[in-house]
Formats: sequence, C-alpha cells, structure tokens
Amino acid sequence: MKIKNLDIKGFGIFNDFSIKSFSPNLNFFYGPNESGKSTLTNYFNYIFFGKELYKKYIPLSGKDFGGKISLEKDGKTYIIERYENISLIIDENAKVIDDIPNNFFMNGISNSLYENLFSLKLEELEKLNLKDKDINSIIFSAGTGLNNVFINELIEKIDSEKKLILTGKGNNNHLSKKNDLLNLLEEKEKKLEEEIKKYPILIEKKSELIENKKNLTEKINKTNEEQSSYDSALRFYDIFTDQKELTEKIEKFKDTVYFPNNGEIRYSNLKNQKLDIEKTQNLIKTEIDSLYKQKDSLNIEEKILKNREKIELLHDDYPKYLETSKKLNDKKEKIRIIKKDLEEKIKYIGQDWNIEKLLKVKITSDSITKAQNFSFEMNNIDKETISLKNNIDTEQKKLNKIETEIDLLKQEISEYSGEKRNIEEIRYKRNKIFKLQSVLNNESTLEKERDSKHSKIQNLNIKEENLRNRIETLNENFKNKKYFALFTIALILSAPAFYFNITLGVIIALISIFLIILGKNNNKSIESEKEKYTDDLNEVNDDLSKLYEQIKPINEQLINHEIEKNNLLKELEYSEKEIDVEKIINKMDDLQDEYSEFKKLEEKINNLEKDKINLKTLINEMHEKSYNIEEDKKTLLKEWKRWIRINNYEENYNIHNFGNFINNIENAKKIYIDFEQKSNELSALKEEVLEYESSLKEVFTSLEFMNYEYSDIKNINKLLEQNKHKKIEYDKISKQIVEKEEFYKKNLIIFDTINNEIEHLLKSASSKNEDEYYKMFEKKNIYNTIKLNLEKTNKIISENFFDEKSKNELISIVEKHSKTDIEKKIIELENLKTEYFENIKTIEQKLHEIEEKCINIAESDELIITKQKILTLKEELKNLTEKWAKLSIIKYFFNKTTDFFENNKKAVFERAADNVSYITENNYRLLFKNSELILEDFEKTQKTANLWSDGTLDQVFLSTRLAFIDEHNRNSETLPVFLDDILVKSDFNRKRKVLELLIEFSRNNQTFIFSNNKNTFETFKEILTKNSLKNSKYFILEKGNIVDEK
Amino acid sequence: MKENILKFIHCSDLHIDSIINIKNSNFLINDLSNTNLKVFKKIAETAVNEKVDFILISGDVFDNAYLSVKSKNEFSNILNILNENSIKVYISFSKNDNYSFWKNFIKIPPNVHIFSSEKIDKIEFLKDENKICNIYGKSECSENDILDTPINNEKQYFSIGLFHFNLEESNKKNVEIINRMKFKKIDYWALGSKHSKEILSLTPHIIYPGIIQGRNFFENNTKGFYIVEIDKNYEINLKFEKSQILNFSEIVIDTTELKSNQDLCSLINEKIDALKEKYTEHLAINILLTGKTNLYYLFEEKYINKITKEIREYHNYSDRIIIIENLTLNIKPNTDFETRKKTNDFTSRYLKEMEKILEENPVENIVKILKFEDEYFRTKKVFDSLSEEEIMELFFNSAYEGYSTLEGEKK
Repeated sequence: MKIKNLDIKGFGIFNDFSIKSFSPNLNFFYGPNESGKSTLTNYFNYIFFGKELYKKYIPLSGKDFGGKISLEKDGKTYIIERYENISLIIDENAKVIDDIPNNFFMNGISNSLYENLFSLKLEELEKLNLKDKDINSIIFSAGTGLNNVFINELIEKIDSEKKLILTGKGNNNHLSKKNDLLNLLEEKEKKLEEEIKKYPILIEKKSELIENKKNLTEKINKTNEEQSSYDSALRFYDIFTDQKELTEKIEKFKDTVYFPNNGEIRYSNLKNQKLDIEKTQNLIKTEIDSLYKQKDSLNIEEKILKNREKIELLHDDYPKYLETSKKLNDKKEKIRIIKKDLEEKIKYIGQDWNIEKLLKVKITSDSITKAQNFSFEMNNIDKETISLKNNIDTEQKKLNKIETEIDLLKQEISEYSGEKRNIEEIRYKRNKIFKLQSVLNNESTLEKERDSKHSKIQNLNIKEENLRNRIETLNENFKNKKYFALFTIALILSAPAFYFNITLGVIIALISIFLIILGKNNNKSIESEKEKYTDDLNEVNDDLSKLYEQIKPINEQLINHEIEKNNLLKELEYSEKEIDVEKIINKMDDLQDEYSEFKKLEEKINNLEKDKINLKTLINEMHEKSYNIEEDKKTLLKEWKRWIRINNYEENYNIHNFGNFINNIENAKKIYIDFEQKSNELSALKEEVLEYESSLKEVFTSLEFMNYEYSDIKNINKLLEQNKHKKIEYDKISKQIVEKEEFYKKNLIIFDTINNEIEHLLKSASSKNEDEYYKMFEKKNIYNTIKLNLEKTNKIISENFFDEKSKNELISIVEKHSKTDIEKKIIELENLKTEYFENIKTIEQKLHEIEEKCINIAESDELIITKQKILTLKEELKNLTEKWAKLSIIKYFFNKTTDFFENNKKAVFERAADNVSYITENNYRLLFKNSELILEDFEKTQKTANLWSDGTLDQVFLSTRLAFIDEHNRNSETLPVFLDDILVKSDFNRKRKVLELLIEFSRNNQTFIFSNNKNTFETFKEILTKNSLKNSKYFILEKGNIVDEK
Repeated sequence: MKENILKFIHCSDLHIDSIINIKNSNFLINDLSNTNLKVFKKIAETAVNEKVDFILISGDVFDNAYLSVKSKNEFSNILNILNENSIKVYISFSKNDNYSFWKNFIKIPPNVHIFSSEKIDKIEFLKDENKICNIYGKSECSENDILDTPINNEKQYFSIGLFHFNLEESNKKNVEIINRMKFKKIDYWALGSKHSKEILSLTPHIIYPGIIQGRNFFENNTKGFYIVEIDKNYEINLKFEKSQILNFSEIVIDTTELKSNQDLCSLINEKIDALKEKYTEHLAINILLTGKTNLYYLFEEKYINKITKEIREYHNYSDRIIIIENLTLNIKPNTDFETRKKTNDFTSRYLKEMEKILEENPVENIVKILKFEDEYFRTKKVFDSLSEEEIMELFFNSAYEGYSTLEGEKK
C-alpha cells in the first residue's frame, strides 16, 4: 500500500494543508523543531486508526478536525476521509467501502503494533540503554507491539499472576483458600442436612418423653389420691365411727318413716279449712235467693224484643227510605225527557224509523270500514275520471300541433331540386374530380423529375466534352515522345563530343541523361493523367446511359397520365381550359350539404308522423279507459245499494253522506242506552221503596198495630230501647245466680276433698283417730332428731368427699384398718411420691435439651444460608478458575509464538546482519550466539551489546527493525514506514550508509524520513543527485507549510 | 356480568425454601430473603381478595424436604390464614416434597386436602351443600398415574385433575398422551413441574402455570399463577397473574457501533431504565457486551469494575432494588483476522496457533492445554462443571485478550 497524497482540513498546526503527491518510495521531510514533522506522522496514524489519543490535535480555530489521504492498494486508488473520528473509505468509482481503514489497508494490525514496528523515533532509541541486561530481548521484541517489553517477560508475569490466583499472598482471595472454605461449607451443609433429617426422630423422642412424664404424673396423682384418702380416713376416722352408731339407732324408729311430713300442721290446717267452707256455703245460699226475687220483679215485652232487629233496621233505614222516594220521583221526570229526545232523533234518521228498527240496525266497525271503502273507491273513480279527461284534452292539443308542423315541413321539402336530391350522382362526380386531381399531381411530379434528369444529362455532356478536350491535350504528349527521342540522340552524340572534349561530352551526356530522366518522369505522369481522364470519361458515359434509361419509363408514365386525364375530363364534361379542380370540388361540397339538409327535413317529417300515430293511439286508449271507469262506477253503485238493503240501512243516504247516517244512528243509540239505563235505575228505586214499606207493614202486623203510619216506626223504636235495658238487667242477674251456684258447687267438692285428706293423713300415720295421730307425731320428732344428727355427720362427710367412690373407699379403709395402720400407710405413700418426682425431673431435663434442639432446627435458616454461601463461593471459584485458565491459554499461545520465532529468528537476523554489514561497510558482522547479539569485527574480535557505542546500538536496532518489517510484509501488503530523527547518533559515513540502505529499502516499502538535521538533509540530496533516483522526494517544512519540495 | 359457579387459583412449583442465585448476598439477607415464601403469601392474599373457592397446588412446594423446617412451618401458617378465610386448598405433592418425612411434625389445617401417594383419589367440592366439581389427584405421580386416571362419567359436574408431572419426561410423544388425557373427559388438568407457563391444550384445558418466582437467570420470563373462573355453561376463563417480586433480566449491548466509553455507560443506563419501565418488581440484571469493537482495548478488568461500580451507584437510589449481577464480555476486537494472519509476525503466528486448536475437537484441545498445567488438579472440579459452550467462550475471550496484548493494545 502506498500513500499518494494528503489533504488536511485541521490537525494540529496544519490547516487546509495538502501535499499533492508523495513518492511511492522514499519521502524525506526536513524541517526545524515545531515545523510539524511529528504532527504529520500522527496525522497518518489518526487517519488509519482514529484513536482518541489524537484529540490533542483538534484545531483551536474551530475548523473541521481531520482530513483525507489518497492511497494506492493492489493497483487501485482509494481515499480515506476521517473527520471527528468518523472514517470513510471511498474507492476510485466513488463507492463507499464498508470497512475500517486499519483492516482494509493496514493488514488489520493495531495502532500500537504499527507504531512499534513501522515507526521508529528518537525517543525509542533514547530509551535503549547499553547497561540494560535485556538489551537482546528488547531488540528481539521489535516484532511485537509490546514496546520494548519482551514476550518472555510477559510470560513470567502471567505465571506470577497465576500463582497469585492459586495460592495468594497475604490475602484470602485465592483458589486454595476458597476451595478449603468450600469444603468446610459443604461439610457444614451435610451436617445441617443430617440434623434436619434427624428432626422427626427428635420429635418422636420428645413425644416419648412427654408420654413418660405424663405416666409418672399420673402415678403421682394416683399416689396423691391414695395418700389423700388415707389422710382423710385418718382425719375423719371419728366421724365415720359416729355415723355408724347413728345409723344403727335410727333403725329403731323406722316405723315413723311413713308419718307424713309436717303432719301435725297439715292436720290442723285441714281442720280449719273445713270450718271456713261451711261458713261460706251458708252465705252463698242466702245471696242466691235474693237474686231470684230481683229477677222476677222485671217485666219484659217479649214481642217487641222478638222483632228487635227488624225494628232497629227499619228505624235506621227510615231516612234512607225518604231519600229514595224523592229520587224515584226525580228519575221519573228525567226518563220522560230522554224518551222525548230519543223519539226526535229517530225521526231524524228516517221518516219510518222507530226504536225497534233502531235496535235492529247494527253499525259495526266492519260496516263503518266498508262504508269508508265504498266512499274511498267512489272518490278514486271520480278523481280518475277527471284526470283522464284532462289528459285526453292535453294529448288532443298536442296532436293538432303535430299535424300543423307536418304540413309546413312538407311544403318546405317540395322546394328542393332534383339535383340536390341525387346524392349518388354527387358522390360519383366528386370521386372523379379527386381522381383527376391526383392524375394532374402525378403528371406534374413526373415532369419535374424528367426535367431534373435532363439537366443532369446536360451537365454530364459538358463534362464529357471537357474530358475529351483534356485527353486531346494530353495526346500532345507525342511531342514529349519526340522530345524524348531528341534527348536520346543528344546522348548518343555526346559520345563523340566526349572524344573531342571530355568535359563537354560529360556535360552533354549528363544533361541529356538528366533531361531524359526528367522527361521520362514527366511522361509517366502525363500517361497516368491520361489514363485517369479516360476512366473519368467512361464513368460519365455510364452515367449518361443510366440517366437515359431512367427517363424512358417517366415518359411512358406521362403518356398514360395524359390519356387518363382526357377520359376524366370527358366524363365530367369539362374542357381542359375550364378545369379548376378546387372550384369544382367546392361546388360538390355545397351540393352535398344541401342534400344533407334535405335528408334532415325528410327525417323530421317521418319522426313527426310517428309521433302523430303514437298520440292517436294514446288518445284512443284513454277514451277506452274512461269508458271502463264509468262501468266500474255503475257496478260500485249497484253493490252499494245492495249492501244498504241487506243491512237495513236507510236508502236515502248516498255513498258520500253515509257518514251522517252512521253518526245519527250512533247518537240515537247512545240516547237509547241512556234511557234504558235510567229506566233500570227507576225500577230499582221502586223496588227498594216497596220493600221497605212491606217490611214495615209486617212489623206493625206482628205487633198488632192496626192504624199506623210509616213515621210510627220511631215510637216503636223507643219502646224497643226500653225493653232492651230491662233485658240486660235480667241477663246480668241470671249470670250472677249462675256464678254463685257454681261457686257453691265447687265449695262442696272442696269440702269433700278436705275430708278425704284428713282420712288419708290418719291412715298414713297408721292412726285411727286424732289422738293416735298426735302420738305418732311425737315419735316422729325423736326420729327426726336422730336423722338430723346423722345428716350432719353425713354432710360433714359429703362436704369433704364429693363422690361416692372416694367415700366408700374411706369407709372401707376405716373399717379395715386401725388408726395406726393408716398413719403408717401415709408415710409409705409419701416416699413413693418423692421417687416419682425425681424421675420426672430427669425427664424434664432431657425434654428441655431436645426441645431446644428442635427449636433451633425449626427456626433455623442456616442450611439455606450455607447453601447460598456455597453457591456464591462456587461462582467466585469459577471466576478465579476462568481467570487462571485464561492466563494459561494466553501463556500457551505466547510460548508457541516465541517457540516459532526462536526457530525462525535466523531468517530475520540474517537479514539484520546484512543490514549491519552494509551500514558498517563490512567492518562488522552481526552474529548471535546463545540468543545473544554479538558484533564481530574484521579481526574477529567479538563485542557483546554492552560494549557497543550508542550509535552502533541504534544502527543494529534499526537494522533489526527493518528486517522485522521485511519479514512482516513477506506475505502481505507492504505498509509505509516512518523514521523520525533516527540518525542523530550516527557519524557522517554511517549516516550516508543508512540513508543508502533506506533508499534501497524504500524500493519495496514506502518510507517517510523526518529530520531536523541539515547535514542529514544535505547528504540525502547528494545521494539523490548521484543516483538519479526518479522516485524519491524531499519536502521542506516550516511552521505547518511546505516551503519547497522536489 | 357472567355468573360464575366456581373460581379457583392454580399454582405450582412454589419452591418455598429455594435459594435465589445471585452473588450479592446483602439483598438476600434483607429485602429479598425468603422470596418464594413471600410470593406464596401474596398468592394467598390474592385468593382472599378474589374470594376464590379453593387453591390448587400441583407439586414442588419445596425444593427439598430436608432444607428447612422453618419454611414448612411458615407454609403451614399461610394455610391457616386461608383456613380462617374458609378457602380450601388441594395439594398433590411431588417426590421432592417428600411429605412422609415431615407430615408428623407440621400441622396442616382442616381446610387442606393432600392427595395420597398410594392411589388416585376423587374428592367432591361442595358449595352451599351443593356439589359443584370433582377433583382427581395423586401425590408423587408418574406417567401411568395420569393415564390411569378414571374416566369422569359425571359430566354434570366440573372436573379437575391435579398432578405433578412433566409430560416431556414420558417416552411417549406429547400428542399421544394428550389424546389419552382427552379421553378421560376431565375439564381442567392442573399440572405442575414445568417452570415456564404453558397451555398444552384448551380442549380440554391442560395447563402448566410455571414456577411462581424465578430463582436464577435461566428462569427469566414472567412468573405467576392462574385465576380460573367457570361459568354456568362450564366455560373456562383463564387469567394469568404475575406473582414474581424479583425479575431476572439480561441486557445485551452490541459494542460494534460504540464510539466512546461514555456512550457505553449511558447506553447501559438507558436499557436499565427501559427495564424499570417495563417491570414493576425488583430487578437482577446481567449485562452482556457483544460485538466487534474498535474500543476492545478499553475493556480491561479495572475498567469493567469501574463501570459496574458506576452503574450500581447510579441505580442505588431507585424506587426498588436493582442488582447488577454481572457485566460479562463476549466481545472481540474489530480486526479482520484473515488479513491479519497474512503478515509474518508474532501476532499472525499467534493467530495461526489459535486456528490449529480450533481445527478439530477444539474443546478437547483446550482441555489438553489446561491439563498440561501442574495446577490443573486444583481447578478440575470447576472445569468438569463447565459446558462446551462455556469452555469455547472462555477460550475465545482468552485468545482475544492475548492477541490484544501482543498487539500492544492491552496491558
């Protein structure tokens, strides 16, 4: 790849700066400090790699940062543009290449590698230190991007990093430690899992212990119970004994058991009750007698009371009766008026109409609808009739108008002549005229053609004559022949002249020969001219014959056209003089127009005739329709009359005013309904009045009132009220009597009951009389005392012993054992209890331990946390392992790389050695022994690197670098090389040699040398001049501008 | 509004005692401790709020029977809450649950029915003393249990099959099993075992609701449970509810178009903000850088750590927990290696050596390289656990780093 030119918009000190062309081989830049040499190198790096390192070159002026360069690769030209770090590659067809510059042009190498390999600067050389023990490695590392760091160093670094990862040093973040930690955690995990697995066993054990504890507790309770029984037995020993004695005593008074409870009191109560009752009975009897007397003193009229309801009802209804009578009279008057109205309405319907007829007639919704339909139909018929009549009139008027129009048109059409009517003749003539016109045109064309050919012929004839004349002239060539003979004779005669005068003879001969030759030449040209003219003449003659042949058919055609023209004229009856084709055509056109007008008129008449016929037909149809409608109307009327008759409607009404009939009927019927309703009401009222009067009559009759009026009911009602009061009184007294008698009866029953009870008491007490009864009572008292004492004893016992079982137990203890025995037993039981308590304590301790364990397990998240830690730790281990693996893999490849180069070093250093030999003019040879570089002089003295001079070191470094570059470019695109002030430490001779080497190097690798050393520059210019190298250039830079280039 | 005769929740694979696989354990101790348990509690709350009739749990309630007694007690507490709200729970345990181990020391309230592992049972569900549906189930079931489920002849009632089984573990094809399941005339197969939700069929319904909370970056789609409503015509309405409180997401950044390292930070933050917009729950995020970049040289360990720290600090004060778990590189330098190989230098030799490894059996070759190292035995355990893809990724990352170092781009 070769850089062809550059164009910088803004980069460092360069603004709108361009170099139009670089040399494809060596480009030398000479300039003082700050002229832009390094900036230029960095510009190329920026274009190719665009790293952010070059931000310092952003122009302060605000101009676009960047620019472009043009380069050549594989014979093609490309442009790389980079502005604001965005690059664009454009090929020579202005197509954008989708790639980045360092991939496309720089073999994909990195910026660092490019700078470290293809760029050598003074700073780099200054870093070389002869005292550096790794100088060999540094030199050897020239082929990498590691910047004077050797690969082996890197490998060592990798090893130490790996060691750090595996075993650490003073920190815990290494693999071993983490592995150990992981093992611990995994053990812990297992342990925790085992614990959890044992959890159900713990729970079971806990349940067992609880069960045991429960059993022991039960035993203790039982012992307590027993002990308590014995305690109680001891405590209550005396009481139980008492109880026994009382129980025996009470047996003796057993027979008083049946003496009734509270027998004495009960007996005296019963006795008192008996006396009370007797007293009461006497009183009641007296009262009853008095009431009977009272009852008899009342005098009630039964008859009136018997009719009580009727009288009351009649009395209550009396005002209503008066009102009803009044209503009845009013109704009668109303009915009379309605009847009169009804009769009037009926008369209005028709003369011979009456109520009977009215009732017979039925106006249903169907009949109303039917009447409406009739009316509707009749209306439609009438409407249609009127409409038809109007249409007939309108159409008749139209017909008249059309007839008038037809007459006018016929008159107009009769004015057209026959000529104007014969279209065929007009067309025929027109065609002929056109044909004639065509013939005339053809004739004219042919004549023109003929004339042109004639003129050509004429020209050719003139040409022919000229040619002939020329040929004639050329024939005078004969003279030339004579002239030729003359010169030949002169030549012959020159022989004797030669004899006489050599010079003269020679002159004559020479002149003759010269003239002969001239003449011959002249003759030749004339002959050829003549030939040419003859050819031309022949050509003209050929042309003439052709033309003549062409004219012949034209003439024939003209003759034919003439004949045709004459025939046409004859047909059209025109002479040739008269013929004006255009005029005739115009006339034909006029005729044709008039014919069209005629035809239009004809058509119009025909259309009108058609219309006329259509109208007539229409009018006839309308008349027919009108007739049909009339018939329909008659039919409708017939049907109407028949319907009227069937329904018994009034015939005096027609279809149109039948609505009135319906209204009248309806009105009459409404009145009739009203009349009927009122009549019914009247009947009802009458009935009511009569009913009342008859009831009244009935009552009076039953009361045996002879002369009465309807108003007497009030007096009767008064009497009734009086008797009612008496009756109430009577009933009240009767009720009292009944109550008292009932009470008397009840008391008798009670009295009997008391007597029975007294009997029963005596019997219960096994006594026959009162005295015996009281004696038994006293015995019972004694019994009760004993019983009370026994109860007290029993109460004490029952208060202290709630259940029968424990009581029986005590009793059996008391019966079986003495007091002393009981005391002994109590002590025994106490000892047993103590033993049990101790066992429980042991169990509780164990239980506590187990519960604690269970709680720990139940509430613990430790296993989960441990698992979490294990997971995290495994992740960390994975990361460390991957880190270690990464380093191992990188180390592997580095080793492989260096192994390879160890094996291939030779080729590189052989080349480097050649370079060194050249630079030192074979005074030194570069060797390497045991991976060490050695310089051997011509006396075979060997110097290791630490014994070289600075300049020599630089030169060896450069030589190696160039060798590496060559090696790098062996199978790939060559890349430009940048050398910046590298000859500072070289002496004059070495400098020159280096430059020569670089020139040679630049034949295959485009090279850029930068120097601020005038001496170096001058040396370069001198070499250029001497070697006449066409493809090297130098530029003189000054403050960002090229001041000179060559 | 449609009248529903039945409403229930179907969830599975609770994994209540499971560990959340993230390295940053601070969050796990505090806000995200017992994540799956918290999620199940949320589900129980939803059940109460939605007034469901019952909850179906189809297995894998726990990761492992021996992991934690506490979590089982807490599970029991949640079941008690449901009991107090008269919500029944039907459970078919899986083998991992190992119910026989803990059934004697963890109290299960009376509203819970646990299907036996001996045989398939049929339970009737009654509502207001009317039978509404039949539920078939068996704990620790196998393929044969699914196929031996009796044919449901009571078509007048809704029927459910509750099992923990992954159909894909069967030797038979899915289609064959599904067809045989259809034959059983069960309306709703409530299955468990798959951690991603899946509806295998809608006639009948064969549903995997998936795990209720993802636990690592492989379980990274939306997790939850189904609320199922059945109307009078036995039409089934499914509604999937998200239950996860922690979402695992991966952000992939293609560094190919990256112009500067500032772009990278802002790009990552943009993507994280987009995730925050999309999801309302806490986020655990893996960031993966891919692509071929000109900035490859920048990505050294120090720089990666720096960026990770910056991003973590940036999102430290979010409205929820944002865990930046890893920032992983899967990038390569933007170099045309084929062209690069053509030169004759250390780097091209390096690339050619790389090529040799990749030619045939690359994984074997890589392991051979490592086995050659003396200390390999310390790392063998980890390597044995790596997949082939992971080994190849490691190889490429190493190789590119070595390449970059050789080119002077990286230190």
